[in-house]
Amino acid sequence: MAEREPAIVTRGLARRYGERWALAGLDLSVPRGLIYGLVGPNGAGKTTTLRLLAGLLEPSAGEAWILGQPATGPRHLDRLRQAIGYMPDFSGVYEDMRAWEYLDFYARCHGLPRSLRRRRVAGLLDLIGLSDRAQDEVGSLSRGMQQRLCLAHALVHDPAILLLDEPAAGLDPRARRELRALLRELRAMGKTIVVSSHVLSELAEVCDQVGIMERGRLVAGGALDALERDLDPERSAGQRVLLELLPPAEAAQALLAGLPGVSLEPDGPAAPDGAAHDPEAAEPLRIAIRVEGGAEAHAAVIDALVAAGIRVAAYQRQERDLERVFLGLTRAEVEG
Amino acid sequence: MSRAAYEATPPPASARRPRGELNPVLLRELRARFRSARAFSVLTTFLLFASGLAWAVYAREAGGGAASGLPGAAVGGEIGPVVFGAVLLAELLTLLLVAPGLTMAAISGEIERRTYELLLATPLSGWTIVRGKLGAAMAYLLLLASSVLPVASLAFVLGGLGPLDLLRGQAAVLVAGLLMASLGLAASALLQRTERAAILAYLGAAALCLGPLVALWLIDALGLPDPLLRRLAVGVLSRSTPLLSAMVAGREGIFGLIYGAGALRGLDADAGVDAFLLQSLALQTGLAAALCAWAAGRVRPSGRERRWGIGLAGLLLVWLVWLLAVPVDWRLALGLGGG
Ligand SMILES: Nc1ncnc2c1ncn2[C@@H]1O[C@H](COP(=O)(O)OP(=O)(O)OP(=O)(O)O)[C@@H](O)[C@H]1O
Ligand SMILES: [Mg+2]
Repeated sequence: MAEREPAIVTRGLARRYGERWALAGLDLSVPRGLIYGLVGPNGAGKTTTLRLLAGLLEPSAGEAWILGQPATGPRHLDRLRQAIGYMPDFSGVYEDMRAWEYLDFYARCHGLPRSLRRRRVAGLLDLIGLSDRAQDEVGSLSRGMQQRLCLAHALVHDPAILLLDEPAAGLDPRARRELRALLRELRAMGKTIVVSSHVLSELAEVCDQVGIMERGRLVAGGALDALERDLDPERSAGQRVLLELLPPAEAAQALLAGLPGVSLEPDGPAAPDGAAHDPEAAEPLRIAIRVEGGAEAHAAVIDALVAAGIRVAAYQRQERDLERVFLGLTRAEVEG
Repeated sequence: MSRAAYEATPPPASARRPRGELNPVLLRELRARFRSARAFSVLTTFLLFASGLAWAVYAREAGGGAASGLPGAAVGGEIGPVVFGAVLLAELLTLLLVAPGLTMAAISGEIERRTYELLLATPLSGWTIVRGKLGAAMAYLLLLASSVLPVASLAFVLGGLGPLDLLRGQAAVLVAGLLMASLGLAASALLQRTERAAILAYLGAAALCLGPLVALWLIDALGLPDPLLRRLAVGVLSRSTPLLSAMVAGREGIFGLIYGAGALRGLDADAGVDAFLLQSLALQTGLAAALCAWAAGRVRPSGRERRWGIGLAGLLLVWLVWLLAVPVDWRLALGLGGG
C-alpha cells in the first residue's frame, strides 16, 4: 500500500570524493512516522548520507526514493524540497537579520503565503523558546540559540521528513532534553525524522530504529532491542543495574551470583572477585549486575539483599547500553 | 522549547511564490544593504565627490577660464553640458568602482558564512537567487544615480542641456554598473572565495573597460587586412567598453572638460550617436545577462541554461546584423571625425 511504503529508501547509494568513497553502497529503509537514528564514528558518512537525501549532493552511484519518488541529484524535484526539512551539522546564520526575519526569510523561500507565514514564524519562535528574542539580531544570540533557530528553519514549511545532522551538538543538557521532547512531538505529528549523532546514548532514548554506519556502510540497522540481541545474544538479555552497597557487604557478590536471572557484569566498577575491594574501608561497594525479567525480578534482587542484611545505598537501572552495541559493532567491522 | 504553538499545516501545493510577493533573496539583501552604515557613507562620499567636481568645473568655466589662458567660457559655449559631463564622469567612476564590490560576495559570501546549503535546500531556483542578489545591487546603484540628480539639475539651469542628454547619460552609466555587478556575481559564483572573487572581479572590470581600447589602438596601429573583419572587430570592441559608451552619452560634457565648453559645436556629431549608444548598451546588457545566466546555472543547474544560451546566441546574431546595417564609427560618435 502506497501509504505504508517507507519514507526513505536507498539502494547502493554511494558517493566518492576523489579516490575515497565517503559512502560505499548504502541500503537504507526508513519507515514512515519513526525517528531513525544514524550513528557512527567520525567520517562514517552520516553527513554525506543526509546531504545526498537533501538533494545537495549528487551520488556517484546508487539510487534513492523519498516518499516513493526518485530523489537523486538533478531529479531531486522541487516537490521533494517542500517535503524535506534539512538541518546541516555546521551551519551559519545571517547574523544581520532579526530572529523573526530569519525564519520569515525561509518561509518566503518556501512560498508560504503571508498570513500563514506570520503564524508559523510566531509558532516556531515559541516552540524554540525565543519569542522574547524575536526582535534581536541573530548575531547577538548565543550559539545554542542560533542552533535552535536553525532547527526551526527546517520546520518552517512543515515538511513530512526531517533530516537533522547532529542537532544536539552545542546544546546544553536542558536544551538537549527539550530537543528530544520536541522530536517526539514532531513524530506524534506524523513526521519521519532522520537524526545523526556520534553520541549513541543521546539517541537511545528517542529513536525507534537506528542504523549504525562505519566507513560508508550500514553495519547494522533496526530496532535497538533487536540490535542488542543480535550483537550478543547471551549478554544482552536483561537490564544492566549499578549497585552501591554499604559495608560490610562481602557476601553480596556470592549472593547475587546465586540468584536466578542475575549475572555479574565483568566490567563493573569493582572487580567481581572482590580483590579490589578492601573490607575494612568505609567506601561503599559498587558492582554492576544484569537482571533478566521485569519489575518483579528487580524487586526480588532487592528483597534478597535486604533479607541478607546488606544495606543498599543505590540501585540504578541503566538505560539501554547503546555504547556497547555501537563499539561492539564497529569493532567487529574493523576486525572483519 | 515550550509546548508547540507550531501547528501542522499541509505545505503549499506548489513551490512557486504567491503572486505579489517579493523575491525573498532580494528582500533579504535590501534589508542587509540599507541597514549597513557603509551604504550611506559610500553615498555621502560619492555625493561630495560629484558635487565637488561639478563645482570645480563650474568655477573654472564660469570664472577663471579666460584669465588662466585655458579655453573656457571664452569659446562662448554654454556651461551646462560641461558641468553635466563632470557629474557623469564622477558617477561613472564611482559605479565602476562600487558595482563589482556589491556582488563579489554574493555567492562566495553565502559559502563562507555557511548559509549556502540552507539556501540550496529551499526550492529557490539559481535564477531567483541570482536575480535577488543582482536586484539588490542595482537598487543601490539606482539610489546612487538618483541621488546625483539635484547636482545634475544645476547643469540644466546653466543651459544647453535637454532631458535626452540626461537620459542618455544615466542609461550609459547604469548599464556600466549592471555589467560590473554581473561580473562580480559571476566571479563570486566561480571562485567561491570572496577575496579571490574580488581580485577577479576588479581585474575583469579593468580588462572590460580598458581592454577594448587597447585592442582598438592595436588595430589602428597594425591594421587588419580584411575590411569586413576589421569592421566587425572595431564595431564589437568599441561597443563593449562602458568607457566609450559613457563618453558618447556625455560627449560634449566630457570633451568640454578637456577642450572647454562648446568645443564640439558645429561638428556633425549627432550622426549615429544614438545608434552607437543603443548598440553599445544592448551589447553590454546582453553580456551582463550572459554572465548572470552562467552564474545562475552554477548556483543550481537546471534545464534553463540551455534555453538561455540559445536565446542569447540568437540575440547576438540579430545584434551583429544591426551592427553591420548601421555601422557607426566610434570616433565619429565621439565627435572626433571619421577614422
Ligand atoms: N567535501 C569533501 N571533500 C572530500 N572528502 C569529503 C568531503 N566531505 C566528506 N568527505 C569525506 O567523506 C567521509 C565521510 O564524511 P562525512 O562528513 O559524511 O562523515 P560523518 O559521518 O558525518 O562524520 P562526523 O561524525 O565527523 O560528522 C570522510 O572520510 C570525509 O573525509
Ligand atoms: Mg557529520
